[in-house]
Amino acid sequence: MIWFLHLRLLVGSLLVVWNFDKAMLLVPPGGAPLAGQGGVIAGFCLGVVLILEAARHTPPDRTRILFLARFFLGLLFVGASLDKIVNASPFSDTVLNYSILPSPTVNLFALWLPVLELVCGLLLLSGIWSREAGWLVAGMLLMFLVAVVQGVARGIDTHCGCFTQEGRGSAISAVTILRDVVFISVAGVAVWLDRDLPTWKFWKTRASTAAPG
Amino acid sequence: MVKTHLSRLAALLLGSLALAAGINALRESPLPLIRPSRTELALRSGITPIHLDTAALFAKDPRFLFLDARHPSVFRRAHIPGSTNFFDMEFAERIKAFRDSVPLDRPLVVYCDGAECRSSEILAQALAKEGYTYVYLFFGGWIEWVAANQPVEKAEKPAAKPDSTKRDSARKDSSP
Repeated sequence: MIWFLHLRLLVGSLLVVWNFDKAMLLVPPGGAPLAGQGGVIAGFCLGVVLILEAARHTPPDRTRILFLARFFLGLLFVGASLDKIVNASPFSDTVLNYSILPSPTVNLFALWLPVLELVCGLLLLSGIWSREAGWLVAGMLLMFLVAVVQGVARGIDTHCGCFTQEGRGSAISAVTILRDVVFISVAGVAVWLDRDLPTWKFWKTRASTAAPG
Repeated sequence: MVKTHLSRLAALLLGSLALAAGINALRESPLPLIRPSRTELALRSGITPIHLDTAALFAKDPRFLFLDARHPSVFRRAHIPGSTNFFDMEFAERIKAFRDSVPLDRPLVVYCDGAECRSSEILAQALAKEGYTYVYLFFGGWIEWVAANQPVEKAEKPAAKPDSTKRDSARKDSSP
């Protein structure tokens, strides 16, 4: 039942990525109250449970960890890019708020970055040029870390702009930094373990090894 | 091997740049690749940017309502005399009461910390959209005001007080 295992991984990852930003908002002071956010917490927890439960069924190996890391980052970056591509103008304002780039260059950056995120996310999901995509993803996460650290240090009052440009409630904070460090670690794993293995070949190998059992 | 990786990286970076330009060209209103200056953006939104000397002049005229777009806790510490706190993030909750108390033709001067903060721009644009005709944006803001040794007020003032100096038009006299 390898397909069922992968289905659980897929649903679990989707739930985690979908609810991650919202769940993080509950942590910093001034975030939305926990009450009334049951759906977000339940969705996030269910996602984690599904991933852990699926991972429990087969012994971990390097290929599977690589696949999981790629899968997680791929979904994360595709998910993060879509809203920015659609809402380019608000995202440009968000980039300006970080007060790093010279104002005239902000629009070009705000147009380019989400597309690069989308392309890298899709490459990670497919496993094509995944090493290069992994480097770029790690680079983007590091760049974001620098932006947030300087923002928090300078007391810049801006929202993260990571997954949605709506509202201005999710102010950058130590939690944003911590979250980015986790993502960088996952990207590090993906780059470190990477080898030329497109995702469909991985699935094919898994299916053939699981079939006799 | 290294060459392959580098060429792939270059292809990804340049390819995504070209794709981004293509997507932008397909938008209903494409984003300009070079971002217009803040002054230009303000003027397009019907907001008049002003400098310190004009702001100081307006501050002496009671017909002008100064709006401090900074966080209330910062406002409480000190602000431009006579100004009212209107934190831009509270816009949605407060705009109704504000509109009830401040007529649309009253000239407003909006400021925040200074050149690096954007709260004043956001608030000024939102007020212009609400129909306020005379919205002035003091870009230099609090930092420039204090640096020029202009008078400051430290006592807290109630937010969005009712307008006691209701005016009709005749704002052209005071325009910069």
